[in-house]
Amino acid sequence: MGTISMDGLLRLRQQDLGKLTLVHLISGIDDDFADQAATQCGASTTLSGYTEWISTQEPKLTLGWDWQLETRPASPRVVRQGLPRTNVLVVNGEQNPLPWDESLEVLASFIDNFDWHTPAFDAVCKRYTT
Amino acid sequence: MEILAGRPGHLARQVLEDVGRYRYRVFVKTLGWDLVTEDGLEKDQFDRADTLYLAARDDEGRIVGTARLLPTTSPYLLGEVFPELLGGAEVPRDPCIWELSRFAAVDFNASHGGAIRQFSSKVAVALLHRAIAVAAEQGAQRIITVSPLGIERLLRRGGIRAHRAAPPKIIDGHPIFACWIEVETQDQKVLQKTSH
Repeated sequence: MGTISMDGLLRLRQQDLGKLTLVHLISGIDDDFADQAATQCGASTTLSGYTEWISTQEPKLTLGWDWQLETRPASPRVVRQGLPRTNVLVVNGEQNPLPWDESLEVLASFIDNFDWHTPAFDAVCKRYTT
Repeated sequence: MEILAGRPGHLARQVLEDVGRYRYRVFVKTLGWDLVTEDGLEKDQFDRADTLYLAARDDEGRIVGTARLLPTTSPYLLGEVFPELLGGAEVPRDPCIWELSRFAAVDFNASHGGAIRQFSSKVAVALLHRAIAVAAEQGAQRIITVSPLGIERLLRRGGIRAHRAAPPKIIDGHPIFACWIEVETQDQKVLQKTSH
């Protein structure tokens, strides 16, 4: 599934995105917040960070994006912030690559439709509380 | 701020020494990287006569940013030390591909609070644009760089088109990856503005 071109980009059809299995690689909080958490009691509870995912199949796909913590009273959750960063270029049905920003928007929609929030949030909690 | 660019022999010896001390302060003392140092200077096997250096200096002449450019037709950091970051792809050896490494833009003299980071935004973006312009002057059409993930945000903030070569690897607890920067697709006006 997907081919890597000379430019290093993995060309993938939009319809193949749904067939991907992504595994969580690492998530973290932004450096500024990591320092504040250690030194400032009562600091802002708005956290932001990053999360990284890779595909299980070859060739390996990498997708990373920023998140921000929504502090809802009952159930805080992380939400995607901005467009992802990747080695993937989405192509249309005729195998023509989409414009770069449009490709990123397609990937962003894909991200928004799978449960990355729970593993990312759990990974961050585990990483920064041990 | 000014950004100097050149090879040893063209840059003043003091500038190169200041860059070495700055790199020590950023990469060894601040980031804790396990690098070879000598007399308070950080230097490795890729600091050679053909290495191109960039040094950003503030109005007082103090180093506030640095970068290093190497042709991929000679040994370079990604090819020799981190080839796995290419995800199995062949290591580039091409006169049109240059490597950007030891990139940092920390202003140790800034009065703002907060922790010191590798990339102070304003200097970093200017340094990146200049590095791309200098590489382009050498015939580069693409740049490869081994970097922490933070550089992607910086590239995007600077309007620089870049993409990952392969998934990041966790090295010493930090995700590191190889990043492609397409020199030819950058805004030519930006290159013209920064190239001198």
